[in-house]
Amino acid sequence: MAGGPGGSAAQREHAVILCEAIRLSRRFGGILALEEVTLQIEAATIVALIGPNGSGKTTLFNLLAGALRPSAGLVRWRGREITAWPPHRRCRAGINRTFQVAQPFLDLTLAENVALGLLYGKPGAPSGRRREAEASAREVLAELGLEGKSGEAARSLSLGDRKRLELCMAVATRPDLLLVDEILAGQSPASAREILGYLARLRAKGTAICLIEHRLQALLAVADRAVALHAGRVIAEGRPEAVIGSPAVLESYLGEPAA
Amino acid sequence: MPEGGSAAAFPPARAAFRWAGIGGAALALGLPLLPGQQEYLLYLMTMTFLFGLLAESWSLPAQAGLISFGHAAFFGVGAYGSALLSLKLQLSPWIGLPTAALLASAFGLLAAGVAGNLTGPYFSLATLAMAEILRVIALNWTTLTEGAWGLVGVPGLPWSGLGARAADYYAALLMLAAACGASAWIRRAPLGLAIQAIRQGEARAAASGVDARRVKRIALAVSGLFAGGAGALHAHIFHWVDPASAFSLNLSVLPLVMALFGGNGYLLGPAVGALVLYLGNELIFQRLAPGGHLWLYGGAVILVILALPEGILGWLVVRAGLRPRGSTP
Repeated sequence: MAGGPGGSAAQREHAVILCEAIRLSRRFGGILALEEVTLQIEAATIVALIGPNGSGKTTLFNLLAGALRPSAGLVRWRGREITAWPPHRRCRAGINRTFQVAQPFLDLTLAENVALGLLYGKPGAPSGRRREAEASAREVLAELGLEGKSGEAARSLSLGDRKRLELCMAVATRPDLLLVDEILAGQSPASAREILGYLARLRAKGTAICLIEHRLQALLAVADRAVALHAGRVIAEGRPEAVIGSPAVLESYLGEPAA
Repeated sequence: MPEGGSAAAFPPARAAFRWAGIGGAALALGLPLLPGQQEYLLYLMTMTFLFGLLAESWSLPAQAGLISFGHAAFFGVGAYGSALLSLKLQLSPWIGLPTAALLASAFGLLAAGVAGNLTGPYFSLATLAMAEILRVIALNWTTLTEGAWGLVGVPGLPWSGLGARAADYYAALLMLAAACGASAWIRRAPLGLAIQAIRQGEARAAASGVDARRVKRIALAVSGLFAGGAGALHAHIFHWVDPASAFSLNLSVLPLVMALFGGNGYLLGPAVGALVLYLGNELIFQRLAPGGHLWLYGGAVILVILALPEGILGWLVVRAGLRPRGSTP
């Protein structure tokens, strides 16, 4: 598997910054789910987003993908402000996400589920025709070993396979930034390795990936950089080993150490 | 629709459906040319096609989850539009009818703008209200519409070749074929995939790049076009339009019932539903029970919808082995 040697600081300075969150806040009623979060994501980089439940990780994804509008702050994409853009427009610009609870279209076949993203995703599809898109969809499905089921309805898939399909659907839109929300939950260790290998291949092609994951060991294997959230704020950022081992992060997961 | 597999195992069934389609189409095309007095038969078939057209038009936005309770709005806009164009502007019905259908299509865009963000019952109620608002406008704008009196003397379709009944018949058949053709094309196009995706999960469809509002606008505009065409043709067949009939609740409920009865997931399901229900009512129920035929009609609808949730066509297709039970059309 392609291990992630995090780029040096010098390399990062030269990397193309794709997406920037600038002092993003989101309030749900009286709860401040995200507070002034600032984040940069560069091309061909895997950024791990970690933090305990309720720390604001999925909210941040929703703000980046456009499913939610921030209460304050900006989202920039390739230098352009896109804070008000709806999700389909961001998808066509090159930002896409998977859903924590996989939501494929259950009555469509796997090939149709993926073809939708090929047809409506970022411009530049090999073909705008439905039949050809469904044929190309099989190639995308093959990346995660689902091509044998391409003619079946998504309803027939196990939860683990639905998550793989979810990833294929997102990849089909040809994203430059892929937001992956807890894809490894419920996968066997072998399956998890396969998915991480696939993400590493996408990175090698230049895709930026932001990964929400609770399996920290798996993250260490692929992530170039980690960002830790706690109660809606960034509490640590940097090389994954350093972030995972930092006292603030340990405290956020485990509570304050007993004296 | 998936091809192969089960279809190869049952070629006779698939061939039977194909021959039924070809035979039906040939019969439909040749019916007015057959010798003998058949005014009544032509009238019945014209009305069947008209309701088939309305049901097919209802079905398209329904595929995207937009369940209209107000299709009478489109029908009425088409009926009043074409009647007014021929009465006030002396336009030929051949120009008035498509113009009125376009007007109803524009009303579909308006409906999508007003109610396109609503889902489920809220969208349905909004469309119900639209039909009712138009009915009240038609009732009260007496300088234009003659109010409850209605517009009378709407000219028929001018076609000297085959006589009025045959002209109505072919116009209805042509529009039904156009609606089915448009539906078939949309189903095979990317748009058809987007429509199905939106019904199953609008947020997920948006994440795949689908602009749901745009897709809904298209679905309602196409639906309005054909429903408006049905209304316009109705006005020219009966030479009269009034608010109570053009915006009748009946016209909103019937396409829904016919589409579900025939099999809403299938291209020809709504048309088959219209055929069976309209002809069944006219030829069987009304003769069995002239005073209470609507009881029979209602009973038949309830029975079929309870026993055959995928409609008549869905039941036939599954029984013929062309598609496994429980899979999607």
